[in-house]
This record gives sequence, C-alpha cells and structure tokens, in this order.
Amino acid sequence: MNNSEKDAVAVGAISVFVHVPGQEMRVAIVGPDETLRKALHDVGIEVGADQVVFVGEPATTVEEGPDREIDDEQEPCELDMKLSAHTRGDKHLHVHCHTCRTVAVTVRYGQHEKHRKFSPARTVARVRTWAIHKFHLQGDSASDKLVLEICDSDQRPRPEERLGELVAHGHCSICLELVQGVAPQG
Amino acid sequence: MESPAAMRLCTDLASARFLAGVADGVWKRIEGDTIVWPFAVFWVAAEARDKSPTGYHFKFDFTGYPLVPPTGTFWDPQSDGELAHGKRARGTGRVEKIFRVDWPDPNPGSALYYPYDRRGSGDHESWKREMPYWVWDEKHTIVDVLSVIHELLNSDEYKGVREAG
Repeated sequence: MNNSEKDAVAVGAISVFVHVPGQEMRVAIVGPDETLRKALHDVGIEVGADQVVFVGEPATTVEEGPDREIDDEQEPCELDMKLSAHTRGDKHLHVHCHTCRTVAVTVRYGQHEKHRKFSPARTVARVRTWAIHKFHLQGDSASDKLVLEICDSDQRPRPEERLGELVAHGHCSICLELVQGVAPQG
Repeated sequence: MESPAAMRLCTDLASARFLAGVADGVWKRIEGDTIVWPFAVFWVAAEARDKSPTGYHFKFDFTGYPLVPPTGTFWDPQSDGELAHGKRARGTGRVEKIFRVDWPDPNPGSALYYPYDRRGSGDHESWKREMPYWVWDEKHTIVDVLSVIHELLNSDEYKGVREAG
C-alpha cells in the first residue's frame, strides 16, 4: 500500500474496480473526495476522447419481457465529480472504460437468434437472464443447465465478466450461444 | 521463507478480481489459528433457498499451486472438520455432480468432482477433451475456483441444503 492509499484508508477509502477490454481488472483505493479521473490515473488509465466511462451496471432490469424491452441507454459518467457522488454511500464501485457506448449482442439458441444492445457494463449473468426470457425458457427445468458460450469457440465466459471485457478490440458486437452446461462424468 | 506456492496464493488474494468478489459480498477468506499452510478456507455466497444457509465454507489444500489446482471440499468452521454431508449443497445437473458425496474412495465427499480440483482432474484425463473451457493451467487462480463454485451456488441447478430437501 503506498502513502496515498494509506491516506485514503484513513479517511474512509473507496475501492474502485476498473474494467478495461482485454486487460486484467485493476483496483484503485482512493479517498471519497477524489475524482474518478484521479482514481483512473492512479491505475495508469488516461481516458481518451474516443472512450466512455460507465459506473456500475444500468439501473434497468433485463427481464421485463420481450414486448417491453428497450436497448440499454446508460449515460457515461462525469469524470471530475467526487467519487462520493458516484457511490451513494457504498465503499466500492465498478467502473468500465470502453470505446463502445453499447455492445450489439446476438444470442443463438438452436436455429434461432435474438438481438439486443447492452451497455458494456452488463454482466454475462444478466445477458443470460435476458436470453432465457427472450427464448421463453424461464420455468423450464431444461433451461437450468443452459450457459452462454462465445459463438464458434469453446470459451465460456464467467457470469461476473462484463460484455465490455469480452468484445474483440475495435468491435462493438459479440455473438453468444446458449448451450448445455455439461456435468462432469466418468 | 514462504514457498513459491504460498507466495503465489498471496499474490492472487491481493488481485483486483479477488478483492472485487470480497467487496461484492460473493466470497471471502476466513482466517484462524487452526488454518495453516498449505490450507486456506473461504466462504462463498449462495442464492436464497428455503431453510438453507446464505453461503458455504470450503477448505482447500494448495500444495503445488498453481501448477496444479487446489483440492478440497465443504468445511464446518464450528467443528473444524469436513461439513456433514447433510449440511452440504444439493441440486441437479452440474451441482449434483460436482458436489457429489459418493466420491472419491476412500473418504467420499472429500474433494469436488470437477477439473478445478486436483483430485478430480488427476483421475479424469478425458475431462480436458470433454470440458475444454475448464482446463486448468498455471494462469488459473483461486478466483477461478471460487467463481465456478459461486456460479453453481447461484444457478437454477442449486436447490438448497441437502437436509432440507
């Protein structure tokens, strides 16, 4: 822990978990009166003109139903506001730096496809929940075992991973597929 | 001087990914006088189920980490021993298999039946082919282990504690 982190702990530090595409998550420990820009600077990130920064997941749910859904419209945050304004009393927050305001998601299930734009801050778990509803699979015991896999690969992203961490550099879209989660056998 | 395995575990427990899980309330490390290297104990949150706990403890042996995955099972911090089978998580599909209590032999229920457990992976070479997304290498960490356990305990396949079923 460096001196600035020790100072931050002394005044009620906030842990800022920073998600960046293609890189390991980083954490900045800073005081509540510091700005988000300072927290990002502390972990080596200077936000470029082509980047947006989101705090947390969008407040809207994803399960409203196929007829009522709208694409995510999460507003990028103001980098020079105090962190305490972002946390609303919490001692930590997740921050997402990305070049895409939304990620166009395609989910395949069998021969069918569904589409929706999500914030890069959405977790894989939330996208799975949406897909289960969208394909009318909720309440079906067979859907218990369905997990998301990146199309045409054997990669299964973790539920806590964010869409923004998964999309390829320079792209704002991703294809996922609902597949059976295989139980170990033998 | 600490072993390379112990130093690597310390590094992984200081990672942003582990700390984010602690901050989000999905897992935490449990420390105590009786828990000494090569063992470590963690608590992992579980989705609410009738008459079931808010989470479960797991004790892992980190010998050889991270070249090989840890091995371990459900833990009872009160008795400082393996958790009674009736107090463990039950479910269907992956939950039923990975948390099975009729394996290994001897001492059934002493390891988790999946590729991120040293005992399970050592006995099942075919799993690398059947589950390529769960092949352990030295880039994996305790966070991958906790992440899978948390996924299972918060999935639709998890049905609560065994003795409530």
